[in-house]
Amino acid sequence: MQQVGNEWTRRRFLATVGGAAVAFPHIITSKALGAAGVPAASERITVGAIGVGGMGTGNLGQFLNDARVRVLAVCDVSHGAANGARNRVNGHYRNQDCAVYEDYRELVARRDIDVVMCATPDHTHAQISIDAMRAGKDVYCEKPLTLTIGEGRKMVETARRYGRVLSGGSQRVIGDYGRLASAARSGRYGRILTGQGDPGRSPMRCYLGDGGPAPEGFNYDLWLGPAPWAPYHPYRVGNAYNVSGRGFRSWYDYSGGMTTDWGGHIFGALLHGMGLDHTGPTLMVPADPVAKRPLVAMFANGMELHVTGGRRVNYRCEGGVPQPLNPEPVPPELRWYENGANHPIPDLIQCVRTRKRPFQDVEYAHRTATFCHLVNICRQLNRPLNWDPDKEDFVGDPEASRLVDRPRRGPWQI
Amino acid sequence: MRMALGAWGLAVLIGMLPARADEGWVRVAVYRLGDDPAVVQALFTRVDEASGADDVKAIEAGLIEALGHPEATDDGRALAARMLAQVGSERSVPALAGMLADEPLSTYARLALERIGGPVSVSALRAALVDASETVAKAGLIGSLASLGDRESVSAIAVLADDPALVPFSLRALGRIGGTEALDALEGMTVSDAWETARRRALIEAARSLPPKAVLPVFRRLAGDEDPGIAGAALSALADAVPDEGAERMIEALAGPGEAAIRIALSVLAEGFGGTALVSRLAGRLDAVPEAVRPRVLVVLGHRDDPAALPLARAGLQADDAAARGVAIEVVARLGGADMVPALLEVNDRRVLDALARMDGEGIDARLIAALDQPEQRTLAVEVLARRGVRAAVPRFLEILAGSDTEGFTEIWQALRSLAGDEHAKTMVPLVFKADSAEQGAALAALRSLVARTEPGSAVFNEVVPHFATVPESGKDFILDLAAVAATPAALTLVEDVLEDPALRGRALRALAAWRTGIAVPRLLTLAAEGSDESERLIALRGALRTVSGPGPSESERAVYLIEAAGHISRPEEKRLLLAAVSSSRDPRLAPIIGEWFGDSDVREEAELAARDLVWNLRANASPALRELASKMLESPTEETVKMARQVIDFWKQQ
Repeated sequence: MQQVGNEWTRRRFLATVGGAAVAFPHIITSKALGAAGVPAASERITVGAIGVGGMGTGNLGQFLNDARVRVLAVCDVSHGAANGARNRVNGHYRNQDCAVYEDYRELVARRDIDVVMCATPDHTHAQISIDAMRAGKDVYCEKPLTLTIGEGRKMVETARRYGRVLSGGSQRVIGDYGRLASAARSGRYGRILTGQGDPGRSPMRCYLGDGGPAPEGFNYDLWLGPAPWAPYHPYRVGNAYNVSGRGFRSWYDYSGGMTTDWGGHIFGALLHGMGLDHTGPTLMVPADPVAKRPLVAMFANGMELHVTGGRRVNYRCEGGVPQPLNPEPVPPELRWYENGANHPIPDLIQCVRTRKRPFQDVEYAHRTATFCHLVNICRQLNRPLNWDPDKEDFVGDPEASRLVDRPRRGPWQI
Repeated sequence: MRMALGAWGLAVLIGMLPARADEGWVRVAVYRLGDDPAVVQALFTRVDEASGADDVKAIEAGLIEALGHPEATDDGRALAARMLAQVGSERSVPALAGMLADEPLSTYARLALERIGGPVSVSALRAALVDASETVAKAGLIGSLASLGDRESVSAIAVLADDPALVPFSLRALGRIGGTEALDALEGMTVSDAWETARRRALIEAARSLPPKAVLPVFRRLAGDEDPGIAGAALSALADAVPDEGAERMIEALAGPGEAAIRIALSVLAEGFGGTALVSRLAGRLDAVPEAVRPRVLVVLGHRDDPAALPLARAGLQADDAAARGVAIEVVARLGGADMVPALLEVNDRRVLDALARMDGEGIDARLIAALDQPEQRTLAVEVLARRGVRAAVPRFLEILAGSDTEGFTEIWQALRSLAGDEHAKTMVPLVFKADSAEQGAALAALRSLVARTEPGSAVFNEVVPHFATVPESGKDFILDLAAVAATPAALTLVEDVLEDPALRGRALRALAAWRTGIAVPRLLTLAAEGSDESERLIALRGALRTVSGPGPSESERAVYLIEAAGHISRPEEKRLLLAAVSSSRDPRLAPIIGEWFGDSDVREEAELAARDLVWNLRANASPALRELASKMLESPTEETVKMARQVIDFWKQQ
């Protein structure tokens, strides 16, 4: 992990290359496999939480507070985060049964876990979710669902092939913007013409040098996962929010920036409200600062999505600008959570049992993430791009097509 | 990616230089992470915004040169490879191939080669797999060949499954590549117990790449696998290929004790594998499924929108178990059409109401109206029709109300509150006044709702007037209240007539004071001046002030009324009412009234507010009365009032 002179030290992956079959040092290994005394699987849904810092802590609370659920294990490449989560789970259940892992592959290999919560940095979402679904787990995956468009399509294919339920992770699509979507779709304002919102900036390429050795208790190699190898630097892996250059969300190799992060909320809400979260735009036109025109996405049905206006979601309809009204009945054709759930996690838990698709089914979450990626690619190439939402590829632009997916580091394939 | 602003100059400079052999590409070659990134940021922007084939070709040539530069650093080569991932072609392959043997540069070379693709890239990757010695580099090469779907690499990759360090990558790649060769290789392979699940997982992936009927034995074997992922993938494939057999396997799973197996079967059903054939077969065999699991099957069937599930759901409508019955109701309403309406109405369960209210399709409303003829279904049918807003049901409702069978009368009156219209008044009004005591409250509420919803000029109240003489005392009170809501000329005539009746004068006056429009104001002002006692005069005055802003009077008439009303006012309460009405007025004749009340400490605040509104609204009209009011405003202790007065006075000076 060090740079010696001008050359990288050869990476020794032998410890990780064997995948889950290789025993990793557990931080705590008590009852790691098949904890004794756990109620039968038919009586509750068992959960393993992967990535338990940041949003993972909030998600963990949602699972812990759901009586239908039992959290059996937690996992994080940061031992501090993992131990903290384990203590929280044990404190909640008043026992010492929660297993803790550094490598998610060990958690996923457990047969007694039904659902995996994935709240790791963005670049590992697809890998972890696909591995979990292939092992027969249902998944709650934080937004943004993916780092690339190609990853998303593979996630959808895996979910369908293996009959798995996957819910994307934006609680704001309904929680913050659902009432506005209801108003826009109520028919009171006529047909929707445009949607408007801007989650923020795209990521940057990272030129950080060697930041010294990774701290004790932090497995940097596992953190990198499928991303190309690069020297450790605290600002490369940091949790600093926004595209500040001090956290992973700033960098192209690990995140789509605020565009994909808050885009999961903003664009997710707009596409849901416009009834377009099953498809994608057909043309992306970059912003024109001189003409003061924002980046515009055009859809086959004539609707447009304008990337402007910050995090304030807006619609413009034939009959004016909808206002959120309270209470607003949900129009029947607008998707909503199952059975009165008020958050995507209880919505997923319901669907784990019924096997219905959740509100943020993998296809919808993928289409939302795809829209975010298209915005990033359009900004990067700074030219109009024709997109085929059925083939999920650019039309007549081979260079843009190369950005649909990215190759992955040696041991990490999906 | 948009580059940093500081790099613009450099970007322009680089754009102007020939792409090849310029200093920029050399700087890429010798770049080290941590150096000033401006140079490479500018070059990335140049790559991102390359225009035309010649430009791309020139950039590629520069990058190839950077890769081969004698002083190139690993960081620099990695960056050049990243750029080639966007703009590289087969011309770049030889330079990239030299980086494939060792990590971490191998990853960066593959970044480009996977994007370039084609037989030349594949050949380079195959050759590197033979030559590479590093485990991680080999794992990556296997992944790239799988990603490019290179079936010619199957045997080479299969051999690597003997290497304990490479077995998971070999297995996964064979599954991804798929095809007969990969399937055979995986079938014939022996791996350690630790990797046996991974082998079967790869096997199912490879099998899914082939025509299902050609690999049925694999699906049959793996559909019962202990690993839920493998079992799910195999069962779904089997269900698609042989729906009857898939259904039987699902029945077995649903009837078994394992929750995981039940979820697998339900998932296969939810995702639509096997189509209608599977659903039909399953529906015919559902008696083999434990009762506790059947509702879950029904939920999924309903979710599939497959009409084949309908007979099954219909049979569940009369289930004793409330959960099962609820699911059956939901599914029948979701999948069924109009012919399912009678069956749903027969279910003794309130959830039917919601289900029927949401049902979509032709003929449903007609079926519900027809159900009104069945006394035992009438109450529910009426409620559903009301929820669905079916106005076409109203004539039949009224026919029933005119009949002797009183079943559902209360619900019908409640439905008429929202459904009845002007056209129904002639029939409905006599029925309201004939309703017996049990339904009278609901009937009167329906009539009041109808009158309240009517437009000005509606003739509904005309139907009510003849009944005034015949109804008892309480009915007269109701009709007088209704007159205020109707606020039509006929209603006004009735109330004015009743004012002459000493026994009902008080009720009539209160109705007049609550008039919905402003047309009763002249009569109210007369009563305010000439009322028989102080109480009557006060009620009339307050009524006039409250209703003067309603529809009817013109702006000018309203001002005259308010000036007249002001002459009758002595108490602060009425002054406040008048000032509130003045605030929305635009008549300068009201200015003296406001000015006069500036000195009344009880209403000073309201008077100033009204003054501010009036002078601002009428600033284009600098009449003497307004100028005087503005002058008074300048003496106010309220800063806002003074400021407004100055603004308007300055405005007048500029005119």
